[in-house]
Amino acid sequence: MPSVCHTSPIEKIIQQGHRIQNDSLIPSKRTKLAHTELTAHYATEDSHVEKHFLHNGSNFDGIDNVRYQNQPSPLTFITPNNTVDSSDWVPQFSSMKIDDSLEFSSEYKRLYSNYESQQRLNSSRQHLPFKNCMIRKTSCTYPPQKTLRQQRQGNRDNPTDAFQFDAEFQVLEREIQKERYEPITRRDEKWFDQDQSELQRIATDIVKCCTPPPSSASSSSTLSSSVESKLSESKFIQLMRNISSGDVTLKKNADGNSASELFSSNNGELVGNRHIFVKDEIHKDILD
Amino acid sequence: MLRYHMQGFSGYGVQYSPFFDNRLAVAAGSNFGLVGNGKLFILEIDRSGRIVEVNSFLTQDCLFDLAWNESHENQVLVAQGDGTLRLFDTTFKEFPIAIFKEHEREVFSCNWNLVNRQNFLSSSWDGSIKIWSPLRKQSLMTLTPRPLEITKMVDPLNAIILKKKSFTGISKNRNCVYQAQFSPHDQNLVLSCSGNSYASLFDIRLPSGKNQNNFLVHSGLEALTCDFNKYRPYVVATGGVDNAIRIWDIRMLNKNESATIKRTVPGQLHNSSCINEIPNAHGLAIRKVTWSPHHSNILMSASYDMTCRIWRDLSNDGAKETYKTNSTDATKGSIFNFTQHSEFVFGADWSLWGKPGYVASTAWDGNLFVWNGLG
Repeated sequence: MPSVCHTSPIEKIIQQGHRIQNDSLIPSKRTKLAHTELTAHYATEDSHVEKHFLHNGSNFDGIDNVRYQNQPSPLTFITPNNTVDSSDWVPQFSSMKIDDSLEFSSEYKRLYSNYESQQRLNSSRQHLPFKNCMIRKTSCTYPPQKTLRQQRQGNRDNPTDAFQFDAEFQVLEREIQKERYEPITRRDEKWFDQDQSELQRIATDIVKCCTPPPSSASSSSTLSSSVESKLSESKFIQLMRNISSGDVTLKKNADGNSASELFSSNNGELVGNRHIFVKDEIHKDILD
Repeated sequence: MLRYHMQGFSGYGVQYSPFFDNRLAVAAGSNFGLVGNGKLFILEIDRSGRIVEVNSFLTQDCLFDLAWNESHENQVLVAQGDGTLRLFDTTFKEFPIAIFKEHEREVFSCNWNLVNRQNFLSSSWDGSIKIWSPLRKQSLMTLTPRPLEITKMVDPLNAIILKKKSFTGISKNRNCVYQAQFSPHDQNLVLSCSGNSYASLFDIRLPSGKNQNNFLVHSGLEALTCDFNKYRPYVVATGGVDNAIRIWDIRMLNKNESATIKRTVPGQLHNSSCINEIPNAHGLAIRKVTWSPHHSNILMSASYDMTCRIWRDLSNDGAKETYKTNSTDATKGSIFNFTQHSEFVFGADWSLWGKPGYVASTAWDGNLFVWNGLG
């Protein structure tokens, strides 16, 4: 059998590791101070590496995993031994990345990363809330400054709103005026309807006409003294004075449209004659 | 003097019966006629000289005037405040025998035709005069005084003088026809007076538009009363708010110029048909004038100054014209002044019977007085 057919897999692995070393950026300078630590590290790494390789040795996919996980380590240094086989092997192992089964999953790492980002955003938001609002409009709880400014501008310039405001003000003003003057009106005035007011006006005119001014001289008056004395004692003139002052007025019928009696507006008593209803009938067969 | 008091009612009109020498009818209203019932009183003077009530009729509204039926001794017509006229029979109780309803407002006067005795008329605040027959419910004819522009017709000088006398000026009740009368000489002549200060003379034989002649009688103030002289067919008297009584000769009314102002001579009255004037006949407005049935030159007036006066028309001596006026006389021709009433006097009528000079008057004090003004 040719010798090529007798090469062991370990040798092949060693060869691949050598090539990686040449291509990587690992420094080749030796460090004396860390020798002891490096030794311990190598011992630990050796046991892990062996277990790993032995565990995945029968699977060719394991080789790809090793290649994928091979990452440079900051603690990796070149050994002082310059033996071709051992020196090449040890650094290669030290530079490999170990896939820890207890490590957090990538999904967890992603979620945690988002969480940290959120925390940073919250922290920055506390310091610059407006800036944040300007950047992320969708997350704002209130409209941006520009929008607020526009709303304020609209309130000033919108004629509909101004009109409504004025209308409301006028309504309020009327209510105040009504409340202010209504008690006085109720105290000082008696509520008369049109007919009652008309009668009061006529009575006032009659009193003025039939009563001479007190300051007028007897010679200038057109009425004789006897007529004046009669007028002063006249029951009709006295009734007119009472109607003029509002003490007496028309008493409306039940229908509210006509009046048939006079009454005192002070105490409600009847003044003058009581009205008696008369049927609108005739004696028949008289003219025939 | 005889007296009768209508308790609770004010007298508005009184008239002697044309058939019985001792019977009178009085139209009255409660509460001075302002509001409330009316009442028609049928009174008689008994042998001992007392006035007694023989019948009465209570009405739904106030009564403003009345007229005896000249062809039936027991029937009396009344003018009512609700716009109706009612015919009562004094031998019946409570209700009328006929109701005539066409006027739209208060009926202020009614008058029976003395010539044909078959018709009567009414005048109303609605501005119309209606002629009726007692046998028909509907009126025979409606007369309306032609409306005139008062401000253009009023004599400016008289208006100024009247204003100085504290008059209220132009009447506000222009359309109101306060009184209308048939002529006692011609059954076709009707005289009326209105709140627009005009008197209107109607000849009902003429077609509408040509049947009336209007003349200004009280210088723009309300004309409240008018009456035909019983002996001189062409003489009428009017009274109004200006406290004056004026006497007119309707023969001098010019049909074309009766409503215009003529001032050919300074101081002359603005209407040449006025033949006499009694200025300031009363202290207040004159509500009633009525000529004597016994003398051609004597008339009576009733006024708001609570008095009744008897006057002699000095423009006529009973036989011929004297061309004098009462304004030139010291007493203004006053014969008698009756002062017993204590309220406005609205109704007055001469007695046709007994010694000439007996009159009856009624006022808002509810009293009816029968007295003699000619001694």
